[in-house]
Amino acid sequence: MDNRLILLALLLFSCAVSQSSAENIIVIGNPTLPKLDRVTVEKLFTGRIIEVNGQPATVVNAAPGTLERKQFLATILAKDEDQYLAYWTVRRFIGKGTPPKDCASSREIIEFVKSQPGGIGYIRANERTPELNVLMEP
Amino acid sequence: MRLYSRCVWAALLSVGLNTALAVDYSWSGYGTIGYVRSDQPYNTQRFINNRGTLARDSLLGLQLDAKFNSHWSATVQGQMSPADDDDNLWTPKLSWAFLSWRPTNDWLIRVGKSRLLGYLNSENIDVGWTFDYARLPIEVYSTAPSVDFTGISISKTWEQWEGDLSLEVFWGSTDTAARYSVRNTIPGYIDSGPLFIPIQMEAKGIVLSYQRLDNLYRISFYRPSAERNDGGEWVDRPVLVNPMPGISYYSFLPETQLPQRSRQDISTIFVGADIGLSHNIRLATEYAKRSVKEASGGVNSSGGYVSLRRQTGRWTPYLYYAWLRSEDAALDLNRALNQTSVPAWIPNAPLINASQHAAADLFLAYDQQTWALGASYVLTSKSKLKLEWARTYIGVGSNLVDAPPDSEISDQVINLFSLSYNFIF
Repeated sequence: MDNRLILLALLLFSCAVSQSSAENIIVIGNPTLPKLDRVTVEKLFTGRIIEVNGQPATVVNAAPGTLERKQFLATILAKDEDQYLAYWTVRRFIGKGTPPKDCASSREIIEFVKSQPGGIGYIRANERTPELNVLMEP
Repeated sequence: MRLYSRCVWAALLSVGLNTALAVDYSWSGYGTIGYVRSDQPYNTQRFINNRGTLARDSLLGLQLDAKFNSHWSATVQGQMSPADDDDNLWTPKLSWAFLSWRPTNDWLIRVGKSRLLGYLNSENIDVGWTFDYARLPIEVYSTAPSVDFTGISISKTWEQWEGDLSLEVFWGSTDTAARYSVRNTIPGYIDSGPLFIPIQMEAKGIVLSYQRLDNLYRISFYRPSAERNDGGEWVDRPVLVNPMPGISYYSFLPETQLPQRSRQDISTIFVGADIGLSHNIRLATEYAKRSVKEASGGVNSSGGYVSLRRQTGRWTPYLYYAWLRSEDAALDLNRALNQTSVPAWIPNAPLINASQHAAADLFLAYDQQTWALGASYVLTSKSKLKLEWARTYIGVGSNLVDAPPDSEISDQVINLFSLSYNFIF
């Protein structure tokens, strides 16, 4: 009985861990880009900087409402969707830029960062593949 | 063609030639449907009286952003709202049309038509969705002759660990109109009602801002210079004449040798901050001081406000206190002009007496304080409702109020009730 309880607990624990990994996001970028810290990623996605080490950067978001976007906004920018929209609305209407483009899927984000010099996006950790340049893991 | 316009066209041409035409276009817009009503029969803030009006706050704007690459972009914004030079017309106007060049992270250069920097919300003054008040406190936001200018602005940013320090300079000009409200007609000289004097305003200034997380601190120095486009000149001060012992009045006749000039330089110092306190409470405050060294009119003034607002779910209730007051000398002159009259047996007595009141209307005076209590409510992520009650006390007088003929609006209270729907798309 005790062994079965322990086994059940281990099983539940491993499910929790794998679920957590699936929800983690990673920031990926074009192969030409170096590793980035959280502050730099935040500044890129809020328009406060436009280049990394002298190289122009173009960032893209996951589609609104997706889990990875919610997680990214909360973890990196400390904002929810409405706050992020409000931030970029003010920025747009004071003439200081437009928000990053939204990509419909992770595949689109991956293809973008591979092909676009300076391209940066984020995907779920469990969608990681060896050839991707991971810039940051929150 | 002005130098600025040539620069804009040259820059646009060079960008067009050098850029692969993969331009990223983005449309957006904003609007306000706002109703406001006072408890007084006379107008305040151009349009507001006890019959209610949509004219004061309602408008619609459209914006097109074109992103050529990471460094170059252009923005055009058009708006439909009450005309600057006619209280009875709504006109479309080009609010923005500028080219933006960001060569590195730290530099931003914009050439073309854009908005004045310096106040916390001067750039987004027309986008009601971006702030919680029914309207930005008029006591501060009326201190700029115009928020539009065509010219150049250059910004340099220094990144701090969690904040940014930025220094911006701007220089440009705009054609606008100075509005006065004249109480009484003087046949052959001036008509009662709104008087718009076309002016060309040259604006230059410097702004230092520090933003850390959601907290913004700003100080700026702004020096608009206004020249009249109707061939007239600015009178520095009226001249007191004594036609006989015990009788005096302020003369505006040409032969009086009035001190006047073609250009009026206004120095404006501005300080503002918008900071988060504890428990979701935000404190915002702005202070502007204007001075015209050579003149004695009411434009020599200081205004400010302090506000507290707290977001609670979809609601953000707020309270603010605002004031605008001309210097004592200007208020004394205003009182004197309103109280001066000569006996009927003095030659041209009716004309002289009427001219004193007209001068009081044209030399301006501001002495008002407002308490406002209101709330914004987020309907959706792109729309909000606002409701506000504002109580304004007029002391000596205020040129933000259109006094009826043969009257003075002083020591009076005006209550404003506002309801507006603000949206973006």
